[in-house]
Amino acid sequence: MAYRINEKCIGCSLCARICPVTAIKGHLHSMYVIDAAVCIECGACGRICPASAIQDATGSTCTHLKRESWPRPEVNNALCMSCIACIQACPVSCLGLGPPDPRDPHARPVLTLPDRCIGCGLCADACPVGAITMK
Amino acid sequence: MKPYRGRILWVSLTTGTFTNEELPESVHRMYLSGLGLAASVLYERIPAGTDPLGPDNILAFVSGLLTGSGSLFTGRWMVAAKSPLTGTWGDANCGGTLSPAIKQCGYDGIFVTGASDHPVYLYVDNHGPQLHDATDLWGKDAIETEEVLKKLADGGREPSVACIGPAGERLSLIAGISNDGGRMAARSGLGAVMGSKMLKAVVLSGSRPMGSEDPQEMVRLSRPCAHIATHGIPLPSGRVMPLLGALLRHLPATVRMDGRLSLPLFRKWGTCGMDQASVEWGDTPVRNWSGSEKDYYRKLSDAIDPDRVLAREQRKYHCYSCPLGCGGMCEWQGGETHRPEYETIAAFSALLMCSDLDTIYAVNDQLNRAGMDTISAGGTIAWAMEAWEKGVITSTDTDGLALHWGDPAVVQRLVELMITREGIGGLLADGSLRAARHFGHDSESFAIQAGGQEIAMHDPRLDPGYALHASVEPTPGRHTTGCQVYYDMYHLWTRVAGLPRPRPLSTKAGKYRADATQAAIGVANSCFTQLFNGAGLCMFGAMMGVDHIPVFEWLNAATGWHMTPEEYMEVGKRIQTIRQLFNVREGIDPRSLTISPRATGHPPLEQGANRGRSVPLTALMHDYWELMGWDPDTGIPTAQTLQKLGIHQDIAAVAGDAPTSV
Repeated sequence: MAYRINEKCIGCSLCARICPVTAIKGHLHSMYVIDAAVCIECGACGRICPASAIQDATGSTCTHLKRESWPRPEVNNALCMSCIACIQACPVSCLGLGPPDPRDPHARPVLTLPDRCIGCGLCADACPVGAITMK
Repeated sequence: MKPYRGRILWVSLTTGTFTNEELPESVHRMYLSGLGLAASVLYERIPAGTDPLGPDNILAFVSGLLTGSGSLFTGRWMVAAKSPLTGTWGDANCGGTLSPAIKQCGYDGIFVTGASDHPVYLYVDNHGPQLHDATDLWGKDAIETEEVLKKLADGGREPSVACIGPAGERLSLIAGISNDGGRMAARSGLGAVMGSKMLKAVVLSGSRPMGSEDPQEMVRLSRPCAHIATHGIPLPSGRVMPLLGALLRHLPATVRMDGRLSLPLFRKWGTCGMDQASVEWGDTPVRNWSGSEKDYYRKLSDAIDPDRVLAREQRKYHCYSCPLGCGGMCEWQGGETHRPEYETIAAFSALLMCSDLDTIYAVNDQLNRAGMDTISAGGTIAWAMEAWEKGVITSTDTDGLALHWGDPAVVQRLVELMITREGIGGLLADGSLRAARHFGHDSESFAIQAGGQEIAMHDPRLDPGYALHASVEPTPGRHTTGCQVYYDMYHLWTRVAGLPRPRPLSTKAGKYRADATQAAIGVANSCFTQLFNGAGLCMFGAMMGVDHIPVFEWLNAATGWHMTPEEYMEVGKRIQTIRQLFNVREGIDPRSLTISPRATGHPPLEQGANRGRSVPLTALMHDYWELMGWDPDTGIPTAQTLQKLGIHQDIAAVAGDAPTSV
């Protein structure tokens, strides 16, 4: 299953520009199309679409949200093991290891490029111990 | 979501084409993924008698079944092909980030066939695979190569890279494949296979989500395991370690080891925490396996005091999904390098009688950059130094270089020559056995190897299990496939019915007997090792013991299967058996792959921790083969065993699925 663009599309191209895997193709002012074989269901297109023209994998229409209110990962360092599963899962490489602490050389993940984060939550899904929440 | 993709990618470098092959679920149930998948496919697809450096050899990059499932310690990737070093089944295992990257591209494995007529690299992302020209990368070292390829991401998602350095390009038979700045799939010479195909690198930039059938259960299982790995007892100064080693040497009995005690040590120092202690208790070989702690005494081994090794460390390094972080990134010559591991330190200290930490750091960095196996490189230099001492090699052969034991400048020079294949380095770059056969004069007797591969830095005279497994392994000369101490730590008897439970204290003499218990331990080690190689589990995680690291429970929760531990151990036996079948089909006599007599105490050492000890290898191998269901005299799997394991039917099923073009 993958996300899908319906006839409400206004051809603004915002979805194509934010898609981290370039799964969305189209021309300005005409309907865009998601390549189901490439889509990773990150939901960025659905959040950014101003025309409510995108449906998720279950068929529900995605809700437009202003970028500043998109959820972002918050790491619980008491649970985090520095295992980098979150960093590896991130489709836009916005997570990285923070600076090492002299008292604890096992560096923890931090949002190194917050402007790049698309709020997909794949990092939280990938954490083996549930140390990341999207807020 | 299933933790496996059910799909592999075929890359033909000869034609520059790609095909996807779908795998039935039965393949994963029979072989999991990882080395099991590689073995089932390569046994079917590599023609008998293939030249390991020819286009018909197939190089497989495979991920573990549990990678990305929410389990821990399961980020190991593996590479497999027919080995050019041993002529047998070849595989190597590595941490880093490539295992999840394979799955994030939508595959369980990438199988490379044919050969290109010019350097290329393979790039795969969510859109599929592409081949690119790598002429500008050819000649660059492994770390430079990775840096260049990552820069090509140009602000996008950073890829995972596996690549060869100059050693693989120059077809050194001890070349490995590097990932994540110098982590190395080092063994079996598979870097040369990659070089023979002119494949400089595999660059993986997919971002497909991974997961499991029961994510909540995976978290429930993983949390206690993570707690154990990250909350160990505090450790004292590194100066205590050689005292601990000496204490173990003097104890009249053997203590059953608990792997949970080793975790704090690995977390603090990494594997280098064991080096000085291991010299003291007789695990580390000294002076090309002819010496002992009395030759490499404390004043010399103080150079490898774990605190000294750690002094350059700037931060810990974690492989994917690892809570432990036994690696370390260290300052070196204005840049960053991976901290030398136990094997590298041992191979370039006690084995060569060398006592210079800077030399160890230097050769570690050089060999990582070159993409050359540090175990085989150290073992081969040890052979060369003994050959020099005995007059087998003279200054005529070395362009005037005197190969004196322990000379740091000579060690560094030999490493340089091996990497560039200049002078005597051209011979040494293919390992000690080939060099010994070139020079003759009985020098083969002190090329310490099994099947042509230098054995690792763990002395079978201390733990006879190393001799057994180095000799019965289809990839001979390996140390990660089993020993008596590993069995102690795996705690398999807590989950698998019928396995022997070692006593907390036992006599040291008992280790050197060949009996039914030792055979059961050996077979259980092999089956479990292949099981965790199918799962992508790190051996250090497995050392926690299956009562603390829920391998069997993770497998069921991730896949939705309901298999018993005994059934999973049968999967391991199936993988081990098909790897052995590969060798048999190549016409290799399993009896020819035995470890060098010196390493089994034939003749026994006259002094030191392992004084007077000999391993009854022939009897151990006989009993192991019999319990595996292989012919006890020849090591060839019996027809009855193959039928019981369902191997032939399954191979046919794999072969039946027609590939589709990408």
